[in-house]
Amino acid sequence: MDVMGLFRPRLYVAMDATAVVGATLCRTLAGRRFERVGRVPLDPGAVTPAPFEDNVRRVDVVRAALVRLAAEIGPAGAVTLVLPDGTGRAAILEAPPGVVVAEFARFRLAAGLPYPGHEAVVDVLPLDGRRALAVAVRRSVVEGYESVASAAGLAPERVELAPVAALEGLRRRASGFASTVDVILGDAFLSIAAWRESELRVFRSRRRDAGDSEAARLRLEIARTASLAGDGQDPHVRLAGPGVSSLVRELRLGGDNVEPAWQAIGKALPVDAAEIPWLGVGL
Amino acid sequence: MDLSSRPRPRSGVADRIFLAIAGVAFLASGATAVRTRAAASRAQEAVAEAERASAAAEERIRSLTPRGEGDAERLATRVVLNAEAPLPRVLADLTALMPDDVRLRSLNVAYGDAVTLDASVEARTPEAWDIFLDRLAASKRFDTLSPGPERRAGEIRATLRMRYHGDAS
Repeated sequence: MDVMGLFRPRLYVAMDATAVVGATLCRTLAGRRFERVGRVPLDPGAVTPAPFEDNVRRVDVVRAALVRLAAEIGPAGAVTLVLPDGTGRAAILEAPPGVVVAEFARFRLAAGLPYPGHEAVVDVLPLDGRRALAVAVRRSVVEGYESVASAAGLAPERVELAPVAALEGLRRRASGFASTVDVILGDAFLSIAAWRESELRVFRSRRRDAGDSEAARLRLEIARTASLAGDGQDPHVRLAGPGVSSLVRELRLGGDNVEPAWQAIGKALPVDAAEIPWLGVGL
Repeated sequence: MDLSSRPRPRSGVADRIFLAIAGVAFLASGATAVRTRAAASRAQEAVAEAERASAAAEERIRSLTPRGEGDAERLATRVVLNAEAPLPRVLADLTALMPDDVRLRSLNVAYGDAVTLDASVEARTPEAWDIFLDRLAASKRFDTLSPGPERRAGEIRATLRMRYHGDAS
């Protein structure tokens, strides 16, 4: 048994439309923390998050960015690849008693996928009881990301989806409010999760339109999602992902009860912690 | 969550911790087993030594005890008891107390200082069994009645241990 593997650093590598971002997660007896964080911008169009076709359009550019990222944040142990929002389809399910949740998720999600069910990689994030957040990603899409990461010497041991990784972190950080809405921003897509107390009620994803009036549109989406969860009255809002600083500022100007999902404590990072949506997985 | 195209078998942190705990427990139990085995070996040696000492003491007692009188008395008692309580008579007295729904399955008679019976009895109904016990208790020829375990699922099968007095009327 690899006991020391418990304390070996894990490198999280995320790809999205505008950049590749990496962070080294260290586990100590005192807990977990991200130690080194790096970001390497990508040329427009090098990665195009989408659920069907291959997302990595310019393999050489992406591979070079990953090699540079690895050089910046140094060597690491196992690699976890974080896929961008927009590549998967997610749904909250409740499996009947006596049924394996993962099998039920595959059965339910396969019916609604725009590609053959056997081409889907399906996994679940257990919630409470027999409820789970089920996620399906087309295998060819995953393989495209895995392939370019391996070519850069970062062969992934695990693959996660950015909004679900963020959700794991947000779930651990109870807001203390009866109604909470989390907005998880990606470069091309965003996901919105609504909680009542500690129960995840709604999880939605949609394409992001980062124009001038994004804050106003987001305010409507937040209210709609909170209403779907059973309470549209002034929910507490947490934001994470690219562009979070300006959005928080604008939403606060409109009187919304909003804050960044997390902030870095201690030494300064080259990237604002709240701009990295999946960073919460290590918090 | 793992969305790898070729996912690896899962080995979570909890699994690793449980494996570590199991490993420590295994080592601890191994050490305990070794210590216990050594203690058992020492105890066995002590028992063997005690048995040897006991056998020697018994042999010494036998050599110092005068023979003849006690053995003759015991033999005489058995002869008398056999005369007073021959097996057919014991059997007849016992079966005479049995209701129709009770039968004797086996009987073991030991002639020593007294006549001791071990009977295995079967009764078709609990009522018949109870009647048989009442009759035994009322009889002067049988005493120190000691019923064994009863099995009361439908018919009853039980054992009885008692003493027989052939001279009682």
